[in-house]
This record gives sequence, structure tokens and C-alpha cells, in this order.
Amino acid sequence: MAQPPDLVAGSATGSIFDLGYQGYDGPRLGRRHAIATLFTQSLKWTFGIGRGGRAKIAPFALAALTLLPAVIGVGIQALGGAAAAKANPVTPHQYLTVVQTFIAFFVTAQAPELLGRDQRHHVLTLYFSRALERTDYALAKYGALVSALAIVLFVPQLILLLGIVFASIDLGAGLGEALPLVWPIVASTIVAAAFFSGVGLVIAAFIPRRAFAAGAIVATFLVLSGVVQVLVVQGRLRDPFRYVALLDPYALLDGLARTMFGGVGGNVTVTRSGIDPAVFAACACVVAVVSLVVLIVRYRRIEA
Amino acid sequence: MRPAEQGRARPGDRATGPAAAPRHRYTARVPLIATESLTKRYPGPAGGVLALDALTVEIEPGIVGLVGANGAGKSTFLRILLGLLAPTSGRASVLDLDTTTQGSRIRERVGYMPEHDVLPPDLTATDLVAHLAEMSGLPRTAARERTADVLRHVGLFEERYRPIGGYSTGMRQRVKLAQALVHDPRLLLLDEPTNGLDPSGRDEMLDLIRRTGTEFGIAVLVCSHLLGEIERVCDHVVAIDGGRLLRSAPLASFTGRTGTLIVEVDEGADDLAADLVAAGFQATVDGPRRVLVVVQDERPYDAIRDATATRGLALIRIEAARHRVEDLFRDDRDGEGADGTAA
Repeated sequence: MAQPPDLVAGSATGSIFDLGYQGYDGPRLGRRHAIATLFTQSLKWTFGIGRGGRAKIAPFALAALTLLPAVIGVGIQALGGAAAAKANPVTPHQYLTVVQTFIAFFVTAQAPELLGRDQRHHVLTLYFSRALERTDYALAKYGALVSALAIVLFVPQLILLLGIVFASIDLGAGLGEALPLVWPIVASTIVAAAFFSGVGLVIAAFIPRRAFAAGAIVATFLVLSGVVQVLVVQGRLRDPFRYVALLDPYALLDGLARTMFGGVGGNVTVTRSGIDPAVFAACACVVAVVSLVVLIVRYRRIEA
Repeated sequence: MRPAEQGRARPGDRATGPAAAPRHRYTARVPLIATESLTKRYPGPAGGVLALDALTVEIEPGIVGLVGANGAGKSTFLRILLGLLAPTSGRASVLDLDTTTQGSRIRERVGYMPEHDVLPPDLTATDLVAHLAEMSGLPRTAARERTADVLRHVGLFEERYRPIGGYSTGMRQRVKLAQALVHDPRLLLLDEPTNGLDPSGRDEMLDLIRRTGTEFGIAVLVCSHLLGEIERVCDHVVAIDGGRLLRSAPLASFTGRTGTLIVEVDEGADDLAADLVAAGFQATVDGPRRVLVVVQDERPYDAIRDATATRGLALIRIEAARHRVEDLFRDDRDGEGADGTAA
């Protein structure tokens, strides 16, 4: 839109309408543009971009912490020789379970940020009186947190893969070892990101106050997994009750990793429950989808 | 209903640029808003609350005031028009689009200024309004440009890079108006736009609304429980009470002359009334100093002049009595007779 030359900024001091009103005859991109914008804006928001310095501390600190195990893993791989490489605790197989606590903290810090403010300050009224539909809002926010978490998790795993490629004797052997890992990494990371984000967002959508929401999310992830682990390991649970293991978020993550990469994982709950890891993986997918549905229903009904 | 010419953009009104040409963006024949037996019942104990009761009304472009007491159903009406709330029964259309099935398309071309505080304190006015412009479908650069424009129009230019948390109530109201205007809507829905403003802020907001309706060529529906405000800015009034339509008519018919003269004299009102009745006019004494005279033509004026001159009365003023918008509600509530002042 062209600005007429006589729109002088300084002349507007304290008075209203000393300049004519301009209509807008340009393109109107409608609902899809609104969704895309809300998604990218929320994604940036998750990393504190456009929010000032303090908001960037938590997401970038957690991103750095998720990076650390990968760097250590690559270091052992490169410097430790064959024996060390065999005992390497940080391989793509185990990466997600190694950083599970950081995933939980990332969601704890960012899910309330994404949803709470719009509810607390009734900004939803302004969103829902525009081209955007209520479902679009839920989808954009869910997509943003899932993407943010996936980005945070993909970068270290990419470093792990590159480590495998370049630590090998020749490039061909390295690629041969690394390429089969790409698909399990992508699939398990996306499901894990969706599962953790979904649970966090659903809790945040029902608790507008940031501190309370964060408390509830961290309790869900840490306390629930602790309690379930104690029950499963100490409880000698009979058949229907051993499925309580499926309530442990970290067990779902471990089952997911075992299913995608094959082999064993470190989570005691999964091992001791005796349930097939694929059941845990399926459960993680179900929770990811169900939490999106709950989020959409919540925003369809929320008063705004 | 009002003649279509009123409230239109007038040529030469605007000071600047190529956009100074009048904008005729709505046609006269299609009602801007039309409802048919619109009913909204909020669920609750004892049958719930009936917010709108078979409201049927047509509203044409211009500056229209929607007036009613608190709880009359104004906000519910607006929210149904935006497609944010589904009516219990009946139907409503805005810009010829059905509110229940085409809500998204309506909201794309309608600006809404809610009654309550809806602004996040941590964002600047520029960031918020530009973001919301994009939420209305404007491309990014256009959203930024229009944000700067609109914030200047509402008188927030210097402060636009400061977080809203530090704004006064008046400034917040302006941000709310700006976000409703930023996508250049065809219709503006304003819910109690002067809420919480001091007298000068109120004047400025009303002036802003007036000019939005006349110079910008945007149709405006203003909700208020303050009749004085409606009288100042609107050219058509829709009055609702208890969710029902009381009356929908041009403002002039609410405030026009009643056909009665108020004659105020220093003393001797009884004598003056007696003289006028004797001369064949309908005159009644209204208090110790006032006489009400029914007028059909010019003759009573001469009679009043002659009578006061003959009796040597001090004539203070002669004034045509006018209807007031309040009368509407007073008439309606006569039955309840709280103060016994039957009109």
C-alpha cells in the first residue's frame, strides 16, 4: 500500500485524525494465512524470539542441555576407540530416553507460555472474532510446540548421525551404518514431540495461570513416572494391574524407542511390566492424537 | 428505516490523497444486519436466562446505536452476529451472510471491539495490532503499514512501541478500536466503547466513532447503555429491552419536536394559561412558572406574545419540547410505575 507523502508522523501528537483514513484494497489471504501466521509466531514465541532476553533463557538452555549428550556421545565415538564406542551410553537408540527429563522441562516451560496468556488476558476474544476458527487456534498452537520440540531434538540426533558417519573407517561404511537410523529417528522424535507437547498443552489449556500449569505439567511427567515405576517394580502387580505401566510417560518414550530402533532400552517400568514395547509405542501415538482432540474440543467450548 | 443516503461517505470530507474519493461500499437495498425471531437462551437452573427473545430487526448502513439497559441482550446480540455464539432459535445475517454457517467470512469483513479488557500487557500496541491484522488475513507488510496508519488515526502514535501494560484506560480503548479497524472492515461492532473513560476521553472516542462512520465509510453498530452517547453519534437507534425489540427508528424520530411549546414566565403562569385557553388554544400549567401549549401552526406564538404583553408578564423563554430517547424506556416501564411520572 503506497503511503501518501503528506502522512507526516510527527504531526499526530496528541490529536486524533488529522490525516485522512485510507481504505485497504489489497489482497486478503484469509484463514489459511491466519493459521500459518499463528503457527510461525507461536513457534518463534516458544524460543523466546520477539519476547526479550529473559524469555530466551529457558528454551535455549534446555536446547543446549539436549545437545550436550550428543556432543559427549560423538566425542566418545571419535576419541575412545572401538571399546569405548561399544559401551557408548549415547547412541541414537537411547538418545530420547537420555534427554527425557529435558523434554519434560521444555514442555513445562513452554506450553503454559503458548496458551496461558491468551486465556488470562482474554485475548482469545480478539482471535475468535477474526478469520481464524477456534479449531485453527488449537491446531496452530499444537503444531508450534510439536515443531519446536522436534527441532530441539533433531539437531543433537543429526550430530550423532554425523558422528557415526565421520568416525567410521570410510564414508561408505559410515553411511551404511547411519542411513538406516534416519527413519527411526524421524518417526520416534515426531511421535515423542507430539506426545509430550500434547499432554503439556492439554494441561495448560485447562489451567490458565502459568505457575500452576507448569507445576501440573511437571508433576504429570516426573511424579507420575516415579509413582508408576515404584508400583511396577515393587508392587508385584497381577495381570490387569500391570498395565498401569502405560501411565508412565517415560515408559511410553522408552517403549517407542525400543520399537523404532529394536533392541533393549533402559527403562525399568517397561522391562519389569513385561508388556511388549510396541504397546507402549502405540500408547504414545494414541495419547498424542487424543490430546490434540481434547485441545480442539477445549477451544471449541472455551468462553471467549 | 433510515434513508440510505445518511451516514454515507461524503465527498471532500477527507483531507488527503487519492483515497479522498467517497467510498460507497455498501448498497442501500441489502440490509447490513437482519435478524428473524432471534432467540438465545443460556442454559441454567429454572429454564436458564433468556437473553434474546424473538428479536426481529433490520439494520441498514450508517451509524446505528444499539441501546438497552445492562443485561438487555446487547452483547449476546453482537456475539451472535459475529458467529461466536449460536442462537437457540431464529436466524441472523450480516452483510447477507448467515451467522451460523458463514461466521468465518463475516468475521473477515467485520471489526469487533469487545466491552472488556482483552489486551495482553506484555505486547506493544504495534505488535498486537499487526499480529491481529494478519489473523484477519492481511499479508505481513500490509498488516504493518495499516497498523501504523490505524494507530495514528486513533491517536496512538508516540506510544505505539510501548507495552500495553503501561497504558491508561483511554489508550487501551484506542488500541481496542485500532485492532477492530486495522483490516478495514465494512462493519464495525463496538460494545460499550466509552467504558471507563473520563469525560474528555469519552468525547474523543465518540468523535472517533462519528468520523469512522462518516469519513471512513464504515458502517458502525454502537452498543451502549448510555443514551446520551447514542444521541451524540448515531443517526439510527435500535432499542432493546429484556431481549426484545422496543423500537428501531431514525434518531430524529426519537428526539424530534413533540408539537408542544414550553413557555416559561417569571410569574403568573396560571393567568397566562387561562388567557390562552380563552383564546381557543390547548394550554396547561406545568409547575408555578411553566405553561405547556399545544401548537399546530404559528398562531399560538402571537397569542403568547399578546397575552404576556397585556398582563405585563416577564417572559423568560419559549421552547419547543422535544422527545428524548429516555422517554422510550420510561413509556415502556409505566406499568411498573416506580416514580409515577407518566409521560
